[in-house]
Amino acid sequence: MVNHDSAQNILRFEETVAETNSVAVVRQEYTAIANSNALHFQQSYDDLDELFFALLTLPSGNRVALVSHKHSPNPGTEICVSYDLSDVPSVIIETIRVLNLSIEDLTWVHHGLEQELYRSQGLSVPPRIDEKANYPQQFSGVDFSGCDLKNIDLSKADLKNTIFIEADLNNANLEQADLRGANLKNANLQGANLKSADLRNTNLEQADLRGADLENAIIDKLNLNNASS
Amino acid sequence: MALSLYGPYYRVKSPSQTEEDLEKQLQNKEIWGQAPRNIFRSDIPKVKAFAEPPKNSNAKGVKFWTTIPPDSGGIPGQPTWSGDRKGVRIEDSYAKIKVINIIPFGTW
Repeated sequence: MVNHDSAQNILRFEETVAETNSVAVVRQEYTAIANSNALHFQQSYDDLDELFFALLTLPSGNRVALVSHKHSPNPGTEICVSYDLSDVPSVIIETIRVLNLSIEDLTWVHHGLEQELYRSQGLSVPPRIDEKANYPQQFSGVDFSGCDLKNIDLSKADLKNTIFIEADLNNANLEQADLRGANLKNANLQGANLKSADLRNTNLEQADLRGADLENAIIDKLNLNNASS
Repeated sequence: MALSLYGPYYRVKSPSQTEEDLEKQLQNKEIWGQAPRNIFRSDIPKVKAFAEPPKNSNAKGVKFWTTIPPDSGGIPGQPTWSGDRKGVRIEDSYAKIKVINIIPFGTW
């Protein structure tokens, strides 16, 4: 049964096709692929975003889906296969040939497949790009009021102007964190490590600092009204 | 044990999501990823997100921070959380991860 969204008249991607497993990305946008290959891309969506996809049946009889998420900040088009497909590297190679692309157009290949894929073409695996891209750590200015941040490691983090009102930072590691202008009003900082943290203009009003380590913390214009220590 | 914190990650509102769905996510502090409910249900449920803001500033959705690291080796900029591993719960064909903080963006 296909789940049908009557409000928007769009079908959910994973319930429309079996080829939902991303195994590679080519640098070309789906519009360019559509134009050069007379492919029709349909509108759909998944849990992440709205998307456009086209099904491509290869000469081998295998089928792939070409997918582009509408709001993706990353360029390119995904090649997706079904989970039970065998010899996926060959299917990827076949796909890029059918699309008149080359292996250099691949910007990402699933790590479990890349050795076999590139070796089959007599090539070495190119260096992986931006491995850290999926692990962002941006906290400056974010409102973490009331959040459970017990035992969190935010050492050396940029926490300028970050809001931790009534946050639970019990035993948090904030060593060398930049907390300038941060608001820790009513925060629980029991046992927190604030060694060498920059606490200039930080609001610690009514914060619970019992057992916190403030050794070498930079303290200037610190608001400690009613803080417990 | 010290926990690392990752984020923000972004998910764009889908046509089927409602304000009630948003409320559930905000209240439960959980992000869910659905597996197919039809003949393709052998698919593996996974939570998907963008690791950067969506390219269209008019997009609406949620951004979140979590202590659960994404799967290794995923598409750069498009992380996933899947499998039966610490921090990822598989329930009723959904993958679920707890988040530390979740904030809506855009106008729902």
